[in-house]
Amino acid sequence: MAIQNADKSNFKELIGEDFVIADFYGTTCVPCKLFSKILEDIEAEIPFLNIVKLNATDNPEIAEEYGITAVPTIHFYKGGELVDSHVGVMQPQAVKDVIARYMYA
Amino acid sequence: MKSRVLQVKDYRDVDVKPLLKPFTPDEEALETELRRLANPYIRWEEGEQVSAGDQAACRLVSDCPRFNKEKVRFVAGSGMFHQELEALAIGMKVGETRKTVLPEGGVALTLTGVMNRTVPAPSDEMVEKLGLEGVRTVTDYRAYLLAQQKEAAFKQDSYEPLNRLVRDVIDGSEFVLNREDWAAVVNRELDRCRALCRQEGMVLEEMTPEQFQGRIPVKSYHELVAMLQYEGWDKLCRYLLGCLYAENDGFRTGEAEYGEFIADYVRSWHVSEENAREANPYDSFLFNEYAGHAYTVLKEYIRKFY
Repeated sequence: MAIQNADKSNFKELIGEDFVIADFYGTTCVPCKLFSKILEDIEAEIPFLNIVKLNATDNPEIAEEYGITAVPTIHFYKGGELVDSHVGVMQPQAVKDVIARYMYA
Repeated sequence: MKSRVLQVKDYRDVDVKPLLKPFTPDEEALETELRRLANPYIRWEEGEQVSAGDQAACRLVSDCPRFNKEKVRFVAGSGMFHQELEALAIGMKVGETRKTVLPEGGVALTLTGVMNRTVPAPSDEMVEKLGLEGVRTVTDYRAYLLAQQKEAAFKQDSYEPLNRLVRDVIDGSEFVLNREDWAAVVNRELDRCRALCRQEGMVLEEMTPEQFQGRIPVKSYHELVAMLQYEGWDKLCRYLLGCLYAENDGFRTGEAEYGEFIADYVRSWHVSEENAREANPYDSFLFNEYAGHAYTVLKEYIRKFY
């Protein structure tokens, strides 16, 4: 499963998969670019992971609906339910720890 | 403006070298970036035997419901599924079954499929596809990454030396500072704050410490006035220096740059153009640009020694 770029037309549908990492990022946000690379590394390691990216700058209504006040914000969904979230860049191991906690639960 | 520079201290007379930290490359970060080159070229191919990093598809049989599953897919050695079972899978061939006893109970793991992971070494072709100007080989790319690291370190490490240099130049120069000009600097900034607060539904003069928190680093309106008055003299000096440097190096800014600034502000802060212009009047923009130009000139001087 490749990293998928979402917009307001498909975001809800994409986060409804079994286990999903949603990355809310901003167009000019430098930490977001760093986290994007971390996600690409994780995707290269676990290709069957569902990763959804949403540009909060271009989709402010979705960002507002999901309570995003800063970027990057990372949401973890299990069966469409928010099970964990983090504001700011997450280190790779921290992301893997959340995956380990929920992906096979 | 009646204020002016009488005599300017030449910044080239200030020895900034002792103020600068030596740059040390982060080799680990460089290697990580180089490894990332290969990410889009990783191949997953059906295989026979599991090695660390491969995808394993298994059938688990156990009295413990958590480990009694018809189909489970995990990356062996990633630690994200179950460390012991992942370790058990490493070395297994498709069709093979291995058993283990976990604290939760006995588990029989049958390998039903494997996808071997192949990571190619970074190559010049991968670098070429990045499309970076003048960056064609892995060696070029390494040098490019190193330059980026150095630039980032400079941004971080130049803050203190720059402030010291600005201080030295201001203290070593002679100015005629007019009280009305200083008051204009303070009042212009107060007007900006007032407009920003009004746009958020607040009255600047009546704001509580809680309302200031996260917006302006003061606890009251009077603290804000005192802070702006204190900073006003230096800011006026920086503006005068910036104008002087601009006369020498040809730096100019005006309506076109203001238009770009407002457009960028609207995009970044999600506000209307009207609000953006109210919070950033043209005269404030010009003043800040020329005051900022003094910083730019002195920062470029420091860069030569980094």
